[in-house]
Amino acid sequence: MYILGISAYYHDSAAVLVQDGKVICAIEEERFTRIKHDNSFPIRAIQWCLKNEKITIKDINVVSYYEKPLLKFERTLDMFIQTWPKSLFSFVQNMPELVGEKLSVEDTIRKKLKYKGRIVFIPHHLSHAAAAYFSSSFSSTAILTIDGVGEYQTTALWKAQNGKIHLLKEIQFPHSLGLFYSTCAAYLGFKVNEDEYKLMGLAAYGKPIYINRLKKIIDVKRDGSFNLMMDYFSFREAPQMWSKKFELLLGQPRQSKERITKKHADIAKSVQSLTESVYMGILNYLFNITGERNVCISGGVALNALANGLVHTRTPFKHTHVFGPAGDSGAALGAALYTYRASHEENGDYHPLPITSLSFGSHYSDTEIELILKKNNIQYKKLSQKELVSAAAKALNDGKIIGWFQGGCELGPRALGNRSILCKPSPRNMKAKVNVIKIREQFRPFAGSILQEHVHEYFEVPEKNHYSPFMNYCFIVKKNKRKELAAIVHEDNTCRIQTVSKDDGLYYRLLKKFNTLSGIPCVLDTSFNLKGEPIVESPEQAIEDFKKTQIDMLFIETLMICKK
Amino acid sequence: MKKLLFFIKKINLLFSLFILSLFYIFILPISKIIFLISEVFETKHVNTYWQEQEKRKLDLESSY
Repeated sequence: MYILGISAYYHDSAAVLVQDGKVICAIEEERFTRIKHDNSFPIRAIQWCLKNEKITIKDINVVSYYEKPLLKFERTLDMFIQTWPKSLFSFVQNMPELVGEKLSVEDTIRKKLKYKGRIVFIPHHLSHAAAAYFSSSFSSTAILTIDGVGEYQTTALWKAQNGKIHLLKEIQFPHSLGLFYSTCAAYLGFKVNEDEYKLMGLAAYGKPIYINRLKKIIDVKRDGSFNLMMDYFSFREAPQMWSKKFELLLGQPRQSKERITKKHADIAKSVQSLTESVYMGILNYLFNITGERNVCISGGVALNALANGLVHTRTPFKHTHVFGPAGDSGAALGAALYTYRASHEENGDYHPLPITSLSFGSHYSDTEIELILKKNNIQYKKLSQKELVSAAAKALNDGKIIGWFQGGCELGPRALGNRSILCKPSPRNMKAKVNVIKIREQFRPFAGSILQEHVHEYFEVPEKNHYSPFMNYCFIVKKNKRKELAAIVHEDNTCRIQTVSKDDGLYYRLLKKFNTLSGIPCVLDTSFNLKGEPIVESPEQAIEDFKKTQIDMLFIETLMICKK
Repeated sequence: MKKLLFFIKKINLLFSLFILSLFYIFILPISKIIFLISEVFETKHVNTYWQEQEKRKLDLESSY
């Protein structure tokens, strides 16, 4: 039984193919269109999934869409009504689009895919909840889904048991922690739905001195529930997210190209601290009402790795699972898995099928890559896997920056050793070197990939051999290891980490070999892309970026390319 | 034929704009009045902002 999961028309459109309850391919549309966070109908992603599995649209049993479009339309109309007459601009700007493709999703699916079969619509937060639950190793768990907004829900608490998910409580639009965070990011000159992680990075340089002022705009109850004071926000009726009153509270907003000052860092820290406090309040309440020891977290806010890193110390939950692509691309996967489970509920007990790798995307053979290299007149050396690992580890140990293109590309915003730029995590100036390649702001931190068996020696993790394969947690770097990891230790002594285990194959072997040579079981890992571009999908794109930048060597499957 | 198509498109656009304007000028304000009245009668919870789940059966086939 094939189920095609689709997310589209908000951000991070994606297609996911599930066969008999197992994810077999998944990819975001942006990888093909080269438009970051592309929200168009994921026709190329769907075509790739079908081609990869050597099937046609006729073989698809169900198409599962990640939200209820009509319900979302109703919420938008509600928004226009509540903010009338101020909503004129928003009404004129959004209405033509809303009554077009966004509303007639079923027609679009049928027309664009020439599909005649069954189509189902899974509520947005249920898609997120399903993505988190069905990718975890838990049979029984509490679930928190939290993002900007779905149809009406912005925050929802769930309990899952034996393959069934039950909604317990919810908070509805416009009261949204995700939109609060995005508003503050926009106020600090960052892009909404794109640059929120910059606010998170900037927070490390500040002090939370604006937190009392910020508490005026978000009312938090003892049970963790919250309401936004809407007179401080204007995202319902205007293109600008914040209102005049917000500016009176915090001063003039920062323009995108303006220099970042101490005040901006202090505001960022205050926003991050308040977000963490609300996040923990919600999780503590979720624990109280479910009594579960396990928790799954999903939705855009779950990409806040700093907050995730605090869950084990500030809540009673023993085991946490934050799904890698916690945003909308992951919701396509959740919709497909939920649809499968819903049609097999009567089949008795539920046995979790945890997802341990996200490399569901496009992959290329050596022959295909060799053809491309020959066509472009690029000299290369073909190696065995053993030679490849040795050469790459030696290059890393020599302080070189390498491009690492292996296997299928990852679903979600993180490069996890399939489409990565890698280098040694020390000395400190390695950070500046990679920043030059990626043309990034210097205040932003880099993440690290570390051998799972060594993670507790380097980071203050909840337990020995802590498992965190999706890079969704920041942990404090142990004091005696900060020099060894100087290029990835952020200003607040934290680092976002990916634990690499034997399941990760070649990447694990690379880290192991690098550890033998350098005595460091960790590398700096950043996504293989340049500023403003999505992560590379094809060998051509990787070669193009390699040529344009100061990446020293490119390891693309078993082929090694060096700069002349 | 081209001219005819051009006219049809223009008329279609004008008609859509007319409907949307009517919607904005009449329907939205009336709905807002109803919304404000309903707000008065809505029970406010002072101790929590959590809302209970809707007792509605989930229909997967429906886009609503």
